[in-house]
Amino acid sequence: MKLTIKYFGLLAEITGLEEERLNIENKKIGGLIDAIINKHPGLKGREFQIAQNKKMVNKEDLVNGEEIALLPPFSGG
Amino acid sequence: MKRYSRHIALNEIGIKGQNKISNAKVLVVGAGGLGCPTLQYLAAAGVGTLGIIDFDVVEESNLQRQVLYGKSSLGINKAIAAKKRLEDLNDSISIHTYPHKLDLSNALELFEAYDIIVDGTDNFESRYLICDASIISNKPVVFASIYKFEGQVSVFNYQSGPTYRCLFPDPPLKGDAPNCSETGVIGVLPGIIGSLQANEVLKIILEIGSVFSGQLYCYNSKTNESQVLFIKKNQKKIDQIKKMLLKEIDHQKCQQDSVVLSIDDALKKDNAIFIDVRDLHERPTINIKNYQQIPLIEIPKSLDKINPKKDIIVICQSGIRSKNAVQILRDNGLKKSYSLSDGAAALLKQLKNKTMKTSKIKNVFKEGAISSDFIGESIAKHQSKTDIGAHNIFLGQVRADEIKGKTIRAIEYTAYNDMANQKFHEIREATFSKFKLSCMHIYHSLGEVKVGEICLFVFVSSPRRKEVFKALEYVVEEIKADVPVFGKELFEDDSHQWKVNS
Repeated sequence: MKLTIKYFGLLAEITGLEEERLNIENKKIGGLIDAIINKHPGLKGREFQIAQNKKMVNKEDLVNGEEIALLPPFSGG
Repeated sequence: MKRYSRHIALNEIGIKGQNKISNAKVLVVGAGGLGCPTLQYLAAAGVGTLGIIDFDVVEESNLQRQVLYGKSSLGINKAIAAKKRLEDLNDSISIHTYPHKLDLSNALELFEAYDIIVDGTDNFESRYLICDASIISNKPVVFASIYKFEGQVSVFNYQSGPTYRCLFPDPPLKGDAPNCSETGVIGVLPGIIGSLQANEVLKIILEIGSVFSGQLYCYNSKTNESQVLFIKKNQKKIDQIKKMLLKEIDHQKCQQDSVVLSIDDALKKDNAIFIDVRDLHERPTINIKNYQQIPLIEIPKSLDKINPKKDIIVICQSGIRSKNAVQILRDNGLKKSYSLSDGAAALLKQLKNKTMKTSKIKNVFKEGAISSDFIGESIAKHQSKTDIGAHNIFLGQVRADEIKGKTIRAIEYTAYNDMANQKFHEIREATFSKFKLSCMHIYHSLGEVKVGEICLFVFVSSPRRKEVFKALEYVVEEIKADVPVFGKELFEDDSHQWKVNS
């Protein structure tokens, strides 16, 4: 399954990417994140939240969207 | 303010006190012998919102003491005739008329809209109703009564003080107590006593001096004698009334369900016609399909203008006049008429919310800093929205923090745009449902914003100031916590770090 992974803020800086297309076979978000960290070891231990199709999800949720975003702590305003 | 210069000259009042008076909302129940002088002085003093409720019409025998009326008022409802005279006396205040009887079905709703209730009635039924409704709605009552040459004044339910029920726990049997028409009264007496009531009202508003709370002032105009009796609080009676009345109100509500319709239910009715029974000048104006304006007073002679085959939903300012109109309509065979439970303002808000929900999600982001011109123009744009009484504005400014010897020169913002706009939209909706707001705007910068420049602009507006204070704090905290925006703090030496909200 081909997904778009988006990186923001510090995470974009670490991966050097704002987004990429990845072929993912994981069923759960947790597995997907492990695969992403495997590809970008710099993300290990970083704090972030995960949004799937613009809605917050956690590691137990199933992968069923086309767009996954890794969001570092929000610092608007 | 020239009008009030003699008030302002008093140390106890001044501009601040005069503003208190103009912000006050006073309901006068009964526009007869007592109500006339009270209303006259309260209007002259500039009490900003005056409500007058009276079902009666002016008769010739009233003119001996009810000084607001003249020959031209004969046969006219007292609330309406009083308003006409008072508007000439002071056109800078707003006067609301309720040309019907105060009863259990309307008292609480009406009291809710005012700060102080003036009891100028002449029968026990109304006095006990006013007393009980004031206990439930927690409003002070400035009470007076007159009998031949004697008058009494007290302030009930003021700062948890004694109530009318503490003085006379239970109503006398019907017919036991006479009123003016049966016994007679010296015309100047209500003038004196009603003026004392106005004086008590103003002291309550101004928070000066002392009022007749826990005291019954008795005056005899024949002997010039006066005395003050002390009233003891009867908490047991008060608690009993609270319990009993709330039960009774629940009971009435159940019975009335068929007449009253909630806004949601009203909007669900297809092809219903909306009849606005407010006077033509009343605001806010409503913009809805199948809408007709027929002031309450004209309803009886306008029945032929109403399509009897359709559901009829009657609107007014607070849901009271509409109930009367429905009564008239139903009595004339228009059985499918309903009174809208809330007033025009609530309906308007609901309609706005509906359009908002179907509207597209707005883009909150602006490239670069938010200029003071932009902020100024936003404020200017709201000057035509005259239902607004208060704005509250939050401006987030980039601060020159010093971190480990280095000073921030700017913040560069990025965001997960689509999700952020979705979140801003959700925050907007939640804020509108939590607070009574007329409108709100949010703008957030993207890209570089230098220290001292504005990066977040939140603007909330409401008819009332209390709402905007609470609402603004809520919006800003929600934005900080929930919206995926990321700040990169740029230092003067071109190094950077990622901002963390505290």
